[in-house]
This record gives sequence, C-alpha cells and structure tokens, in this order.
Amino acid sequence: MACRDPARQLISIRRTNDGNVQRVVRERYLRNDIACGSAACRVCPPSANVRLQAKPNEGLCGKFPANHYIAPNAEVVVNQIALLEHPEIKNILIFSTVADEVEQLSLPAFERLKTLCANTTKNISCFANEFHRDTFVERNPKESKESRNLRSLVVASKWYVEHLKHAQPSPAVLILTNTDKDLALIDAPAMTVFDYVGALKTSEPLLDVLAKPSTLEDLKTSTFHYPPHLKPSVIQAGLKSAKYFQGKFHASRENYLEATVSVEGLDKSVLIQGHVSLNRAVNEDIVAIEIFPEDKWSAPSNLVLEEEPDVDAASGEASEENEENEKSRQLKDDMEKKMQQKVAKKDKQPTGKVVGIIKRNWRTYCGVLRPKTSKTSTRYVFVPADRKIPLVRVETQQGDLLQGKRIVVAIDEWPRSSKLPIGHYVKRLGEVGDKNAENEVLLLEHDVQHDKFSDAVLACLPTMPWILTDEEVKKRTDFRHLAICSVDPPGCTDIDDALHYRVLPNGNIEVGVHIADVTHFVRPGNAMDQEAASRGTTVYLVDQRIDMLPGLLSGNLCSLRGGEERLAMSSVWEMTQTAEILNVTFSKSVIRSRAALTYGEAQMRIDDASLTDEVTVGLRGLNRLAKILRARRKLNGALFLASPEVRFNIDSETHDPIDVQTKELKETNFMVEEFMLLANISVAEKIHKEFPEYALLRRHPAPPLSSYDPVLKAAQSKHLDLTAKDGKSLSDSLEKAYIPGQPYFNTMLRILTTRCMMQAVYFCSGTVEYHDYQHYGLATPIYTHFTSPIRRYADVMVHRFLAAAISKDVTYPELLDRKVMDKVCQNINYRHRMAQYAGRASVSLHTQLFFRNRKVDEEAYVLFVRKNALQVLIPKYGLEGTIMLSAKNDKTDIGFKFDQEDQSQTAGSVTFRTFDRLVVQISVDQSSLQHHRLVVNVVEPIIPGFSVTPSTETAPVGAPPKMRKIAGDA
Amino acid sequence: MADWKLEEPEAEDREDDAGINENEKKFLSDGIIDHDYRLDGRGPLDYRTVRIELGVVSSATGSAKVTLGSSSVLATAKLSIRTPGKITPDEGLIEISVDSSLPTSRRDNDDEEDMGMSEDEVKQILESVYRESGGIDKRRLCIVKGSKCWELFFDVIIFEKGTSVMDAASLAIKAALFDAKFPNLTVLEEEFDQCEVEFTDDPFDFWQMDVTRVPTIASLHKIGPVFLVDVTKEEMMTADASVVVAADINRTIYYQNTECGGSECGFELNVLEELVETSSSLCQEINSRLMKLLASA
Amino acid sequence: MELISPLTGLRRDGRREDEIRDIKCHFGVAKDADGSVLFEQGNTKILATVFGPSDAGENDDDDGDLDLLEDPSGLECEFKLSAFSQQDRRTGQGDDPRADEYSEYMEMCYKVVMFPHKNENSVVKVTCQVLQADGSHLAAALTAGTLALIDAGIQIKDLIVGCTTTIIDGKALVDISSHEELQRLPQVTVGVIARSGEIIVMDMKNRFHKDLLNPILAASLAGSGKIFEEVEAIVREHVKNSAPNFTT
Repeated sequence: MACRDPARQLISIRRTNDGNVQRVVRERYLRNDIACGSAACRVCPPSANVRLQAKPNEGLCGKFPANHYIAPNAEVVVNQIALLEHPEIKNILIFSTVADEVEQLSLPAFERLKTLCANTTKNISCFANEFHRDTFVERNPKESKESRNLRSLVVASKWYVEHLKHAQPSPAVLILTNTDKDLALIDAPAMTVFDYVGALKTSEPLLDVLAKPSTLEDLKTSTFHYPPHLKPSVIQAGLKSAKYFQGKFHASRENYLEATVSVEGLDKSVLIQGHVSLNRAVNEDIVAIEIFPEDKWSAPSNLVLEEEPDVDAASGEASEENEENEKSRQLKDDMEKKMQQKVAKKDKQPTGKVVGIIKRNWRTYCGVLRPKTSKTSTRYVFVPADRKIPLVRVETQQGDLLQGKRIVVAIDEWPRSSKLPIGHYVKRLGEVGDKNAENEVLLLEHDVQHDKFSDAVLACLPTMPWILTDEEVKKRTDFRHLAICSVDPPGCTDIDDALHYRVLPNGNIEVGVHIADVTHFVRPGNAMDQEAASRGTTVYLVDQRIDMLPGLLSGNLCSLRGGEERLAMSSVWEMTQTAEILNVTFSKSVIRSRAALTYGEAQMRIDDASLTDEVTVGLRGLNRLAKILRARRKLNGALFLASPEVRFNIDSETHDPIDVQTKELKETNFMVEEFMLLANISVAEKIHKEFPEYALLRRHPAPPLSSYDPVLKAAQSKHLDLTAKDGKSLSDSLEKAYIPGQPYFNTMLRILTTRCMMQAVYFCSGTVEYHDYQHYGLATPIYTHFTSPIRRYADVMVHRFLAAAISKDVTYPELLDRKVMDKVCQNINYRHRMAQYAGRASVSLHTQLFFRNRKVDEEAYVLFVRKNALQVLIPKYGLEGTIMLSAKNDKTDIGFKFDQEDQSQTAGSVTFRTFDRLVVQISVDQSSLQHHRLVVNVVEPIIPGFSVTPSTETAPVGAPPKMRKIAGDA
Repeated sequence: MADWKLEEPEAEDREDDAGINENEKKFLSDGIIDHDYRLDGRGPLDYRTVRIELGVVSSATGSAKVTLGSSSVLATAKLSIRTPGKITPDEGLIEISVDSSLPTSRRDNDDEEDMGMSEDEVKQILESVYRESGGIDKRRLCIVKGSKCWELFFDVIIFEKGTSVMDAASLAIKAALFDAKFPNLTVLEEEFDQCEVEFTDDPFDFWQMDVTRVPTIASLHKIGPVFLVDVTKEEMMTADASVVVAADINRTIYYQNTECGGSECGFELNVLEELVETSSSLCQEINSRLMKLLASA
Repeated sequence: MELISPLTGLRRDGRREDEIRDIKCHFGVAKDADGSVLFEQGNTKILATVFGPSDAGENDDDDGDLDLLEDPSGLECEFKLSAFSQQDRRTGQGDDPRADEYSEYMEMCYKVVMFPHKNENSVVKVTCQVLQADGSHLAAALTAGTLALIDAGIQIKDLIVGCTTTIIDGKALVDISSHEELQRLPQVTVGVIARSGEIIVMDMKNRFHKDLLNPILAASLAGSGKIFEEVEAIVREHVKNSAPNFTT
C-alpha cells in the first residue's frame, strides 16, 4: 500500500543574492510507492513507464559481461551527455540525486537530460531515490554534499540490485564515474566511463564522443601561453568597485586576434586585441575585463586575419609541442605587431583585457578536421565553420574516417598551457561539400530548430477534415461575398495575406487587407504555441523552408487559398479617391479568396486592358492607390535602399543550383507591400492605444549621424554631397546622386547606406519611450508586424493583442506582463537575426556549389577598402567577395600601400578606392578537401604579379543584375 | 435630575481573578514574614517549574520557548551579515523586538490592571541589558573589523504574560543564543579594503557562542523584610516594593530598576543593598541552573 | 527550478500533486487565553488564540451610530505575521500588507459557523499569529482559528478549513509551501465548510485566465477535504482525551 513517512526536515545554508547567510528549512516526504521502472521487476505496481529492459546490456561490455543497468553520476551526465544520447547506449538508470545535482551544475545538460528522459523510445529511467523511504540518505555532520551524494548513489544502487534479486537473471547496477578519484569510495560495482566505453562492443568507437577529463596540463608544464583567470570572488569584488567590467565577448569575424566586449552602461564597446588580452575567451562568453588607461586606447586594426593552422600541422604538434608553440608565438607576435598602428585620436576606442570568465557560453561547433602530419598522432586541429570561434584541438581515434567530413565538436576546456582550446568529437554530419551536410551545418550554426514537430505539438492541431461551423461564422464578419484575392511569389504555399478593393455607394473606396487568423488555431500556452514562440520565425533557405508552424496550418488551414473558405483577421479602410484614410475597422472574418495570383499573373491582369472582371478591376484600383501611398511615403522621408537578392534555379534531380539570377521585382510587389505597410501601421496604432504598456511593436532607431561618415566620405571622393541630417534629406540626396556613365553608382551608394543602418527590433511598448518608437526606414512614428502570422511569431502576438482590443478574444496573464513580453521580443529578435544569417549562409553555400567547377570573370565594384584587403560586390550574382592584398605567401605581397585618410590601396600606378570598377575572376578553391571556399582574384586592372589571367570560360547564363529596392521592413 | 449617576467602573468585575482584599493580603504576608511560607508552599526564592524547549522554530538560527509559572515566552534569534557601525568597527549589531500573541485590542483595553510589564517595558529592559550594557559581547559578533559583522535579531513573543515575564524573557533570550548556530565563515581578504565571506552549505558547519557569561534577569518583590521571586498575582498585589536586576555569573550588575508598590515609598539604603545583593546572587543561581539544563539538552 | 520534477513527477518535497502536508496540533498552549492551539501544517506554524466570549463592554459613549456599525455577532479576528517567521526577517513588525484583509476573511468564515444569538452582547476574539511561515498562511490560519474556537468551547456548526492551491502546466498543486509560492503562479485560497463543500471565502493572488479557475477550485476543494479529514480526526481525539466519558 502506498504510504508516506512523516516529514523530515532538511536544513541547508544558502547564500542570498546580496551575499548574506540564509538558513533554509525544507520538508522532505519519503514514500514507499516509487516504481523502479525496470521490466525485470514483478514487485512494483505495473506502470506504463517501464523503460529499462529485463535483460539489459547483455554481453555488451567486455569488462562487465553481466547484465547490468548503468547509473552515471552527475559528473558523467554533465560532461558526457552526448554519450548518453547515443542510440547504442541503453538501460540508463538516472538516480534523482544525480538529476538534482545536474540541475545545479549545468542547466543545458539538465535540459538535454530532460529531453532524453522524455523520449519514450530510449531505455532510460529516473528513479526517485531521494524520495524513497529505503534509499534516502541523510547528510552526516561535517559531510560534504558531494560525498553525501556519492553515498546515496551507492545506497540506491544496492537497493536496486536487492529489489530485482528475484528476477531471472537478476541484473546488476554499474555506477559510472568520470574520473577514477571517486572509485575507491564506491562500495559497489563501478567503473570510469572511459573504461566502460572502451570495452563496449558497439558499431563505431564511442570513445571519441567522450569529453576528456581535465588534462591537468597546467600542473605539468611551466610554459603558459596565457595569464591566469581571476577567481570569481575577486571578480565580483572588482565589479562592485568598478575596477572590472562585465560584458559579452564578441570575437571579430575578420580578425581572430581582435574582439569587442559590450559593457552595459558604456557607450562604446571595448576593444580587446592580441592573444594575451583575449585570454582564452570564446565568442559569446560573459567575461570580466579591465579597461586600459586612455593613453592605450586604440582602434580596430582593419586587418583581415585568419588563424593559420598550417603551422601547427607542419610542426607535428604531438611530438614537438614546444617547438610548435614557439613558432606560433612568433607568428602571433608578428601579427600583433602588424596590428599596432597609429590611430587618429577621434577614432580611438577604449581597449582592455580579459581578466576572467564569468560564464562560458560554449555550444557544439560544426567544422572540419585539418589533416594531420604525423601518422602516429591522434591529435587533430579542428577548424570551426564559424570564423568567430578559435581552432580547437581534438583527439580522436577515427581521424582517418573523419577526414573530409563535416563534424560537430564540443570544447571541453582551455588550460593556460594550451594554445588552442581542447575539445572532443561529438558527431558526424556528412561529406564536406555535400549539400545536406552543409545545410545541417548552417542550421546548427545558426541555432535554427529544425527537428520535426513533436507529437505534443501535432496534438494541438485541429482534426481533419476541418469544417467551418455556422457557429463560428456567426461570431465573425462575413466577407465571403467580396472579390478578395492574394498576390504572392510563384510557388508560395503559405499565403497569409489577401486584399480586396471596391467602390462604395458614396464614391469612396473600401480597401481590405485580410490576414490568416492563425491565433484561432494557435492558442496561448499550448505546446504548439510554445514551439512557435521558441522558433520565432519560419526560416527560408535556398532549397528548404523550416516552418514555424506545422504544415497543416502553414500550408493549408491558415493559407488563404483561392476558392476556399478561410478564417481571417481583417483590416478594412474607407479611403477617398486620393487615398486619404477616413476610417479603419478591424474584425475577425470569414473570407473566400477568388484567386491566388502570382506577382506576374497579377501584373498581367492589370496590364491586359481586355479584362474587366471584379478581381482585375480591384487590382488596378489597388495599384493606383499604392502608387499614391508610396509617393506620399517618399515625401515623408522613407528610405528606399538596395540590397542584392539572389535566386537560384535548382536542378530538380540533383538539387544543385544550375543557374543564378537576382530577384526581379514587379509593380505588383510594391502594391502588396504598400498595403501591408498600411495594415501594419494601422494595427500598431490600435494595439498601442489599447495596450500602451504591453503592445508588441517594431522600431527602427535612427543611426547616429557619425555612422554615415564612410558613405559620405566615399560619395565625396566622387564629388557628390550627401546629407544625412534626417531620413528625408538622406532620401532626397540619394535620389539625386547619379554619375553619368556609371549606372551602378547609385545602387552601390544605397547598398553602402543600408550598411550604416541599425537593426530594426521588436519591443514591448512599455519598455521604451514613445518618441523612440519611430521606424526610421519607413518614416513612421509607430510600426508593428501584423501581416505574416504564419511565418513570424511577432505577428501571432500582435494578432492576440488586436483580437483582445476588439473584444474578439481574451487576454491572458503572459500577454499583460511586461517582463514576459520583453523576453518574447528578445527571443524573436534573436531568431530573426539568426534566420537572416542562415538565409545568407544558404545563399553563399549555393553560390559556392554553383561556382564549384567554374572559373568566371565578372564585373565587380569596390565596396570597402581594408588595410590588407578589398571587399568587392559582384552585382551579377549579388555576391560579395574579399580580395586579399597581402596574402600569406610572399609572392603576392607586392607592396600595397594603405591610405587611412583616403581609404585607398595603392600598388604602383594602380589605386583602389570605393566604387572603383574592376573585373574579377571567381572560382572555388578546392585545393584542400576540408575547406572549400570562394576565391576572388583581380583580372583587371592588370597588376603584374598580382592579377590573374582572364578565364576562357563563358559566363553561365543568368538574368542581368537587378537590385531589389526594399522598403526594408514590410 | 434624580437619575443622574456617575458611573463607576464595576469593581467586582475587575477583581474577580486578581482582586485581593486587605485581610487576604495580611494573611499572605503574615505567612511569609512569620513562617517563610508562601501560599503555594514554595520558599521565598523558589521559582515555579521552569520548562525550556530549544529549536522550536526551525527556520530561525536559534530559538527557545520558556515557560515559567504563568509566563510563557518564545525567543528566536536570526542572523545576517552587515557592515558594523563607524564608531564601533569591531562590534556586531543586536536588535531586539518584543511582541505579544494577545489580540491587539485586548492589550489596549486592559493595560491599567495589567500585572507585570508592557511589551515596551520588557523590550526596553532587554535592550538595556543585552545590547547597551554589553550583556552579550558584541565583539564576538565581529567578522572582519570595519567591514563585516553579524547582526543578531532577537524576536521575543509573549505567549502568556504572567508575573515573571521579565525573567522568562531573559531566560528565553539566553537559551535562544545558546541554541544559535553561527555558520563558520572563511574570509577572503581582497584588494581595495574589500573582503568577501564564504561559507559552506553544510548545516553542521557552525559554531556556537559560549553563553556562560551572558546575564540573566531576576525580578524580586519585597513583602515586609522578605524578598520573593516568581511571585503570584496575589503576592504581587501585596508586595510593597519590587526590583529588577540583571547580573551574570560574576554577579556583575548590568541593570537595576526599582519600583515601590503603593503606600510605602522609597527604599532605605540597607534594604536596597540587600535587595540587590539577593537578586544578584539569585541571578548567579539561575544562571548556573540554566547552564546545567542547556548542557543536558 | 520546476515545481514538479520533470524526471520523477514529484514535487520538490516528495509530495504528489494532490497531497497535503503533515498536520499537527497542540491544544491549550497559551493558558492566558480561553482557547489556543499551536497548529502546524508542514513547516507553517500558527499560534491561534481565542478570548471570550466576554462581555462586549458598556457602551458608555452616547454615539449610537457607532453601535449600529458594530458587529452583532461580536467577533473580532486578527491575523499577524511574526517578523521572524519568514526566510528574511522583515524589518518593521508583522506588517504584512494583507494582514487586515486576512483578518477580515477569518471573520467572514467564523461568523458563518458560529451561532450569533448565543453570543449576543459578548465578544469573541480570535488571533492567528504565524510563527513560522512556509506557505499557505491564510489557509492554515483559517483552519487553526476553528480549532482554537473549539478549544475555547465555543459552539460552532461545522469546521472551517482552508486550502491554498496553485496551478502549473495544467497540474494543480494543493497546500503549497513557500517555495511553491515564490513563482508568481495563479494562487487561490479557499475557506470552506468542507462537509458541504460550501466556499465561504476565496482569495486570489496573481493574474490568471478564468479557464483555470474551475480546475484550481476543484483541486482546492479536494485538498480542503483531505485537510478536513485530518483535522476532524484531531478534534475527535482531543475531545476523547479531554472528556473521556463524552462520546460522540
């Protein structure tokens, strides 16, 4: 019979946030009704949750042939979670003591443990020994928590064996530890995880998956590459007294010896230069820094520096470590010397050094192994795909197997004595250059959740066939009689917006924007909502779309397909013939779209004067109004900036890109865009009025004027004056900035201007002053996203606000909690940024695949002049490339001279400045199997010893370059 | 105007439990003066049964509930780490509060006839003895001079306010301090005159204060030439003078307060001397008994 | 920290969702009072005292209006949170911002179960002082007060018990501890006549959607039922001990 003991008192001493002592008394109820979760058991009441096999791990481990469950301790779970996740590791017994400890030690590990335990197909079970009457262990006086936990592990494992004694055969419990230091204290079957895994008969050697225990190299060797990190207590005291500062470490993408740390409360981020100052911080770590006195302040070196692993490889790192270190230090010193420079005072930026790490934010990293040089060595250098991440030293037995593969590696530690951080192999993704492997890489690297939707999420979907009930119709405004149509790119299956236009009897015009009513299906707080909130956005890759919502919604029930009845949120305006808005009403509605058109089809209908059907007439009317609206926005100072967008034509069989073209835009694109903007603004006003404290809005801050300096300078070099006082003057002056004979100049200028802009962000209206709500790019005082709830979570939230504002739905606590909203905003901002990066990465991946066996000469323009490189834009492909001016091998170093003031590079008679036209040759460097990359070389102007000979290949077929003019933020 | 009547408080009502008339007073005092006998059979310096429970409030650092005759008092000690005052950088801080479990309204109504003392009085005496006069050595609460010290909060709750509430409160405070478990600290000396303290999460990693020298308080009443301790209500009404004295094991006096009941006012010097002498030796006696009791806990 | 361990499905103190904490009760702890109990529900400890019925006192002031305002049932209740009862000692004593409100809840509850005509011109004072706070204070105070009334021998129709419940991820947790109160989850306290399931007072804390109200109330009633069972057994035992010949 189930019963419970009287409560025990557990007393612990806790440190409060302000460093004070707190005595915490908690009750603990011990019970006898805790199931063991083993299929071998005939004592515990039958339960659905029996996950451990009756004959576990039979003959699996050479060193422990008996049937056994493995009971990892907390250290193993925290450090070797990847092992536990491996499908061949089975029958894992997690004692709740271990689970609690893991939760204390590492939240990420705990999350993964949770996911693992939630997976019903895995043979893993958590036994609540902490709450079992017979296995609870009281802490002895003067006993450390660790040894008490160890003791309870032993007690629990013995109990478990005893409990299953009646089974035939009775299984054993094998405790796994991470190091052998605990083994002596364990009075039960136990082994280190390394011994265990080493003796496992599995299909691939799992030893590599293990994180190596701390090497203790710091103790062995006296050669340190880095100064020590300060102790946490010293850091805390230093932070309090403002001697040190806390901030997030952002490694530079271009120069591995440079990074910035953004410190809250400081206007400028702090520059960190040189490996000693960087002191083993890795991108995204939270670090403590010391800021140097002002006379040491400097500016970014403007150098493009890649960490050069060749040196390591060349010197056979295993046997001649010291020599290697010596060499590399010299190399580093050289590079650091190069970085030293004279800096004009106004460009100076605070500099500092990392004195300690407050929180590591290490994740797993994708990349490739460098080939090793010595045959015997098991050490490899891992090159992460993300250039902000340092090279990692990895030891593996299956190095040969992993050559040329995309693999995932985790960093374990970075001792002072090791030049590189030390990590271990986690898993293999596939061949380098294989599209699927590379796609996987870019999804992982951009933290894009791309797993299939879980059963819990799918359970939230409505049952099919979905029928529109009369009851539902009664609650809504019926727009089924209107001539509504949608206009989207070809092949679009997630249609979230549709429009209508009609002339009212009073001569005014009624325009409606109808958006899929996603929140009707996605109810706050359910699994689907949580998943969508976490994904934040649909991610578009060149050949793949990772949906925010399950396909049934995104591609069907919420897609406003032609001829089908769909639920919508409608925004309907009454306007005059000159597009003056008289009033706007919002409603939940039912619509039936007459036609789902592509931009091209819509354009054809507008242009074909013979058509006079309702839809076509409506499209013409909308088009006319859109032009008025657009002109008006321009007058208000909205910016129309350019950024290249590329489209690939994909081979239907190989899925390789066969052709590339920049996206072409039609009038109808702008038409749809105008009305979406209008809807977004109207909704923003409405929800802000109803929920001034909580509404989710989007703002685009005006950039500081100084950030335009590079553009203004560049324009001046062409004798053009730009003004950037405000959006309007900038917009106007850009409009006039043309140079005869250089048709591409204006577009370039716009591209450069785009680069100066700030990121637009979502925010909760209660957290920002009203005058900061403005959307600079669109020149509107308030803005939000309402029109794409299928693919953006922000819009889902906005729909909820709007529905509540028009009393068609209820609010819920999280909706009216500023802190929660702020968190939501931060997450969707992060996801949007990542989605953008992933999209770009996908484009560049396909670009690379496209050029794989080609060598093409194309026209290019200089975008930026760097200290040792040129960044060029190749308009035809919307592609940006870097031309290194002083590369690693000496022969190309023909003495370019960099002029900081003039922003130019000169070699002999040739000078490169921004906007200069050149001809470049594009090819893919496949010389090293591991690292394919796009190489851009100069063909024209001819610089002896530097430029290359023209390619004989003809350029592949592609549409002429066109730049998409974007409003930035529709 | 015949029905005009000055309403007198109805005396009988008020006297029903504590009231005592002159004859009874005489009987009582005669017994004491002539035969050294109190009505309940105790000797003049005998306390009624003292009961002490330690650790009744598990969330507090230390706690004790003391029942002494008709008085019942709970004292809890709580700790926190503070910065010491500028003038006394090497001393810790002590705060004392006194509250009653009686309904607020009841306390307001009944104060005229209240025997014993008000909460404020108790608080004032406790503060004077334990905080102001060094009854608890505040230097022992120092962690790092000028930077960190312990602050001790004593919260006294009066469950039953009998005649010896003062004595009970002092015993409770001393017992709670005895029970208090001070976590062991490690001080990390650091730059810029700052320091951090660290401690383990082990609830057994603590030290306790030696409370041998912490004073106790005794309240005495005088009936004729005899001094009585732990008086009953009747004795209290009969007494002609009373004194509250705090003293420690060395009979160092920390506090003394005299009050003359009703008619005969003032003490003669030798009487006062004797009173104080008796009470301080009484304190010594209580102290050693308490220590014995605590040691056995 | 999740309130329900995702791995074991148990609450942090080992209880299941619908389980209440251990209940203990000592009668007659404060001799001054006419009735008193030291009531413990887990680590929440409450001293409840009852004074009365005593004379309501003479209405010596001529101001008749005040009399009208006075409660004919003559019930005065007080809820006090001791300064030391919580993790951090509060500065300023017992200044729970909601103490007055809680006092009123007590009054509302006991009024329903007392017989007003029996207490005419008399006053009954009920005081609940929280000595140790570990969650569900109001609920425990409501229960403790009833027990003190019984100890004082004041006639009541039925027992009032209180129960505080929260809900997380659709799972209702009854009789919550202070740790479970920390996260600002929906929280409902009911004071009920458990036998009939009549809710006399209901107090809500933190914002929540009305759809949650039904499940949370259902769980509260179920929890109250469990508390009632325990308390009733305690009362019977107490009566048996203090009046062995009095059989019920």
